[in-house]
Parts: sequence; structure tokens; C-alpha cells
Amino acid sequence: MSVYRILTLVICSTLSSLVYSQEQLSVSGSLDNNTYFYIYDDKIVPPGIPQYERQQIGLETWLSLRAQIAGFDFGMRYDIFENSALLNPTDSYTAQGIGRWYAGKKLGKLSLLGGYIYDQIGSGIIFRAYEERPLLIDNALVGLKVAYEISPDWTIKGLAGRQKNLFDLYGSVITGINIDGFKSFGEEGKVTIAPGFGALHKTLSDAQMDALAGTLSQYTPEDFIDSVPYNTVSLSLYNTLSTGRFSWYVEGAYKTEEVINDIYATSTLWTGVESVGKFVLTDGYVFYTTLSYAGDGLGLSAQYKRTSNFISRADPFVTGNRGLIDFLPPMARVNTYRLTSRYAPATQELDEEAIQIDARYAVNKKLSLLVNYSRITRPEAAENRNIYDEIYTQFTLKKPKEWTMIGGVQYLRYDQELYQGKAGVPIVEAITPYIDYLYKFDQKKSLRTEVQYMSTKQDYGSWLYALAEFSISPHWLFELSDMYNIAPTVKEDGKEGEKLHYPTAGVVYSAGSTRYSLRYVKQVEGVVCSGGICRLEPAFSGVKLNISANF
Amino acid sequence: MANKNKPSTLLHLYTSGVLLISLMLGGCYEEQRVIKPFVPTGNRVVLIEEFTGKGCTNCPKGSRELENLLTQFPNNLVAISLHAGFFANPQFLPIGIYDLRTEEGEFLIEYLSQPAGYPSGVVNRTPVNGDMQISLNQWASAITSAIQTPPAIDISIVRTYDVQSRQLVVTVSGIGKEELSGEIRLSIMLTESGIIDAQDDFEAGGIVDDYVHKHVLRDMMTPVTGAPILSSITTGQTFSETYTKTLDAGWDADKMEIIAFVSLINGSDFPVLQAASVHLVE
Repeated sequence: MSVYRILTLVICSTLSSLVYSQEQLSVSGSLDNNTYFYIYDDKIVPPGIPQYERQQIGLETWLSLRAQIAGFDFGMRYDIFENSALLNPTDSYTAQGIGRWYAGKKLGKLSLLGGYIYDQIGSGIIFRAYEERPLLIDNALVGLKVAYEISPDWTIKGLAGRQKNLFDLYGSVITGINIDGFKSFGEEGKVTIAPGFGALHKTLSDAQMDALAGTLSQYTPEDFIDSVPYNTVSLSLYNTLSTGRFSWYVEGAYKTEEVINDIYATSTLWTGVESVGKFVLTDGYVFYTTLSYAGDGLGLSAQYKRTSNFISRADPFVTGNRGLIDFLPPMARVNTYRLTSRYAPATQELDEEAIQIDARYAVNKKLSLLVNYSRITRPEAAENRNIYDEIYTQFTLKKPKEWTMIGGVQYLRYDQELYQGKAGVPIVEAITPYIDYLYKFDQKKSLRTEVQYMSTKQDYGSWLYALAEFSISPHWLFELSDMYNIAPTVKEDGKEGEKLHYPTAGVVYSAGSTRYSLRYVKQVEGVVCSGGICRLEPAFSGVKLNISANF
Repeated sequence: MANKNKPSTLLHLYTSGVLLISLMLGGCYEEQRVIKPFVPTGNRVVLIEEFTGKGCTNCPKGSRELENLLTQFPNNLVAISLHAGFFANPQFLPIGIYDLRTEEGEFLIEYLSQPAGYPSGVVNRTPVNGDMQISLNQWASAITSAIQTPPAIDISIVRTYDVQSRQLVVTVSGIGKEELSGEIRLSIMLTESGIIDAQDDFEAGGIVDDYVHKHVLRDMMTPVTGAPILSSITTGQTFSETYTKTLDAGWDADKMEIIAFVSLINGSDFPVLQAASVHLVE
């Protein structure tokens, strides 16, 4: 009998016995489905992608169910990937099965949770188990979490398990502890602190160590590593100090020596040739702080982060978005407009120093202003140390109940060679003015329009983007947009790139907590990011259907 | 009462924290794996099939790693570079003069599964942790692991090449070293090195016009998934297969290699049991 059958039996029998015990059973769930109908367009879609060549349709579905009764909490999620491009954008991934299950119970001050656990320590720098579906990140810890409330303000929790790897598990074993507290001082608690401490221990499996030793045993004397620790410990100490209108968060994290894949390190091959990238044995650290002020219509925040060799993965060989144990906070503004979000910087685990300053001011009830500045560098790099700069300005002007206008300009400087791995390409410098205007015809009908222009001489060249969204509340939304590379760059052969349209037309219907979206999409290649984790997304041509529901 | 509880709470926290950290750190520096340089012994010859393309900016790094491994395992490794997939498609990435793709390469990239990233390679057509295509930093590990298993079949190549007619005759002979059940297939590939054509090379800063391509798959003398030669084999059982081919006029026979390998077909698994290679011209 499989583990899942046993589990289902246990859950069902527990539930039925609890139902008979006259406790009130609460059952809820959610559905998230993306279906893609691929239509090949030789001008924008690379050849050889199976979805366009032969499969025609692909989908991803997550169906979750949750039951709560008498302090018990049960959940299960069924994941389906059919001809999906999420795992590898140029290939097709097909698999289905139970993507998550859990069972939990609160016993007074003690909470128990077993199964697939999503959680984090502090801001996530040493440990964050989370799900980000558009990037196929699902690094749940499969194991046990025990939390104990020492006092109303102090909690201690322990974690142990192995990280999820699609429908399998990574070999390494992870255990962790986290203590979070809160304390107020002074009259009426005007000064508060929220300190915390976390520690994470990782042990490589024998198979992982054998594989690592196999690779290291072939290194030349210049790169050779004599011995490798099986265990790694990450420690994190953090605190939030709040006083009046000020809040100050500071976190320091340190990771003991482990073998990590340093993609910038110079390696010497047996042929005598030098190459770039090798395993190195090193410790790592992160320092992260954010200071904020809010009051009288003014909001200020300043962030600083320094990262050095802080790669923490469930398997030393995995790269990209796979096997992430840590989560390093992104240090650039998360933009939402199509063109202002086109060049988003991925968090650098090996070497990064970054600052971000954000200022917002509400002049009055009708007008508010925002300025954001971020700068990301690689201080240990021999060249091209400045990898990202952004100045983002925005105003919001409102006539309540009638219209809202949002506009501004973004300037950015983006090291495309580093972030997208494109050899020899120049640094992208772009200026993007944008305007967003929402007009309400009445309480139900409204029209939102966007116009953005990205002026750049690099990459694809300059873009013009326009969007119109007509909504009839509460059910309907009609969308029409086009992205057009109005001034393409001149290629190496002296020819100007082709001017192409990337139109989108869609309709969204909402009924209660269910949402249906059908869109015809032509989408240019670009970077998709979430929380500083990014991947290069190829162009798309076809129809996207999304159904999401909560019940 | 509240004041009395505070020291107790903090004491508990302190004690439990110190205990747990001590436990975690205690074992941290004790358990080390000593790494020793691996020197191959025995006659196992491992096959690595590297998937590459002229438009793949990181692939030259893979090519340099292949040379690195061939230098280290001169008698235990054979390598093939297959230009296939998106990065090898001149229609989308028009780089250089030649189209180095082959029908066999385009078939094999599907047969062995599309790489999740480049450079990517397949070692002995055997998955590593479920993945047939593995990244560059896993190649050495997979190869050292495979080399340590003695071959279940031993094979050798005898060839004759007529310069005038460009006719090549290849005979692959083999002998069973253990008993195996399942279909045994023989594959013979022809590769060419020293092809000068442009290549995108990240480490060199972009397109290199006079890049030297090595181990490029040119053609196969057998069907693409191998020619069935036996349905099982016993210890000491021998076989010999001969194939003939006239070389394309554009190929430089002096820089070509013949690579032969035998695979065991068992459902959806098809591991390579042994490989061999010889220069096409003596």
C-alpha cells in the first residue's frame, strides 16, 4: 500500500470520527488553472519548441482542498502539468500527482504540522520554503514543524525534513530552529523590539557527496579541494526596533564553509586553458537592514544589503530556481507596468551590494508623489561593478469617484550580459515615461488606458506600449493592448531589426470568487521575476485561458 | 508573578538556544569527506554526448570541459558534440557559414530529452538523479562513476579507408564479459574535428569567427538508435558487424574519428555498455 493511500485512509478515518463527534467541519479549496493554446509565429517564436511543433495545447493546474475540525488542519493539493513550459521554457514537462499534503494540530501552546511545509526564518535569508507558481518554485520542506508558545510574546519553532524537488525530494536533510520575540519599553510601550534568531543545519546525502567528490576529484592542483564538509550551518540574528514613526530592521546571517558553484571563479583545466566557473569551498554572509519613517503624509525608507557567497541549495549541482533554501530580499523596486518591468534584476547570491531609497509624499488628498532610487553593485568583480541603477518617479492625481491619473518616468541602467547571460551585449540604458488614466463613467463602468514609451538604443531598441481596459463591474473586463518596437536597434550586419507588433486581446469574467480569463497573446522574450528570482522567458504566441476559483 | 516568570522564560530560551546551536555546530566540522584525485584503471570506455550550437554562448565552456576530460581520461572516454536544437538552428541564430546540424542529432536531442540549459551532456545514456541531460559540472562526476564499472561487453574497431573512392569500411567486434538479457544495439558515429566556423563564446566576449569546432557529429553508419545485433549475450559470446559508407566530399577524413558503442535496450532504459573510438585515417 502506497504512502498516499495510507495517508488518505488515515485522514478520512480521522475526519469521519471527528465528524461523528459533532464538531463542525470546515472544508475549503481553490483551483488555479492555466491552459495555453500554442499558435506558431516564425517571426517571434524560436523553432524546435515541442508545444508549437506538435503538442498545440499545454496546461498547469493546482487543485487544493483544506479541512479543519476540532483543532485539526488537513490539506492536500493535486498538481497537473501537461506539456508545460514552466520547468524548461524550450521543452515540455508532463507530470501529475499530489503536490502537497499536510496535517496539523494545535495542542495548547504546542503546534504540530507534518507534511509539506511552507515557512521561513526571519526575512527568509537562511530559510524560506515557499511557492511561486509562475516560476515553478515550490521548495516546500517535507517533514515536521513543531512550534511552542513560550509566552504570549515569545515563540520557538523547530523544522526538520527534506526539500521538495517537483514530485520527488532532494537528498539533503535540513533541520532548523527559530526563536521570535517581542518586547516593549517605556511609557505605553512607545519603544518596541522584535528580536529573532534562527539556525539551519544541512547534511548532504551520501549520493550527493559521492557526486560532488567525483567532480572535485578531477580538479587540477590549482583548483583542488582536499576535504568537503558534509554539514553546513546557517545562522541568522535579526531585530525590528520601532519607536514612534521610525522602524529599523536589521539582520545578519552567516553560513559556515560549504562547497558552492562559483560561476565567476577562474578555473584551470588539465589542458592548461583557463575557464570560468568551478566549485569552491567558502563561507558566506548577508547583512540586510531597512530603516523607515512614516508620518504627516511622508513615507521614507532606506535599505542596504551586502551579500557574499551566500548560495544555499538543497543540492550542490542545481542552479537557477531549483533547490533554493535561502531567499535574499530583492533590492530593486518591483515594477508592474509592462515596459518599466522589462529589465528586472535578479538577486545575486555570490557578490552583491545594494541600496534602495524610497520616498513618498501625499501633497493633499488629490496628489501624491513617489521617488525611488536603487543601485546594485558587485564590489568584488574585477570589472563592470555597477550592474543596475534605477530612478523611478511617479505622481498620482485623483478626482475622487471620477478619475485617477498615474504617471512618471523611469531611468534604468541594466547589465544585460550579467543578468541574462548574453555575451558581449552592451549595458541597457533606457528612459521610460508612462501614463495611466482611469476614468469612471459611473459606478459600474470604467475605462483604464496606459501609454508607455521605452527609449533605448540597446537590446531590441525602443518600444511603445498602449493598453485599454474597459470594465463593467462586477463581472466583465475587456482588454486590448499592443507592444511595438518602434525603433529597433541596428544589427551587426548593419540592418535594422524588424518592427513587430505584440498585440493582446482579452476578456475576463468574474463571478464571486471565480475568475475566468481568455486572452490572445503575442509576447516578446523577456525576464520574468518574482522577489528577485528571475528567469528568461521565451516569446509566446497563442491563447491563454486562466480559471481561478476559491470555494 | 509576571516579573517572576520573565527570568524563567529568558533562561529557557537561552538554555534551549545554546543546546540546539551546540548540537548543530558540534557535528559541523567533524564530518569531512576527504577528496582524492581519481586515476582510472581498467578498460571501461565511457561515452559523453554533448549538445551544443553555434548560437549558444556558454557552449564553448562545455567544449573546453570536454577537452579537459579527454586529456584526463585519454583511454577511458570518447566524446561527441551534437549540434542540435534551438541554439544550432541557423534560421533563428544565423552565425557563421556552416549548418553543423544532422538529422541524427535533431532526433537524438528529442530521444535523449531536451536539455534544461546549455552546455548539457549525456553520459553513457544513463540518467543522473532522474535527469538524462546533465549540466557541465556533473560530467566529471558521472564519468568517474561510470569508469569504475567494468564493461559488460568489450568492443574493438577495425577500419579500412580508401582515399580515392572515399569509401570507409568499419568492422566492430565484441565479446560478452557477463550474461545479459535484452536487446543489444550497436551504434557507429562519425565525428570531425578542426572545423573552423563562427561561434558565440561568452568567455571570449561574443562571436569568435575562427572558432575551432571539435568532435562534431557528421553522420551515423547505423540506424540512429542503434542496429539490433543480439537479443541477449553470454560470457565469452562474440559478435562482429561490418558497415560501409562513402564519405561526404566536404569532410576532412584526416580529422575524423569513428566512435562505436553498444547499448542494452530495456524498456525505456538504454544505457551504453561500452564505447570505443579510432581515428578514421591511421
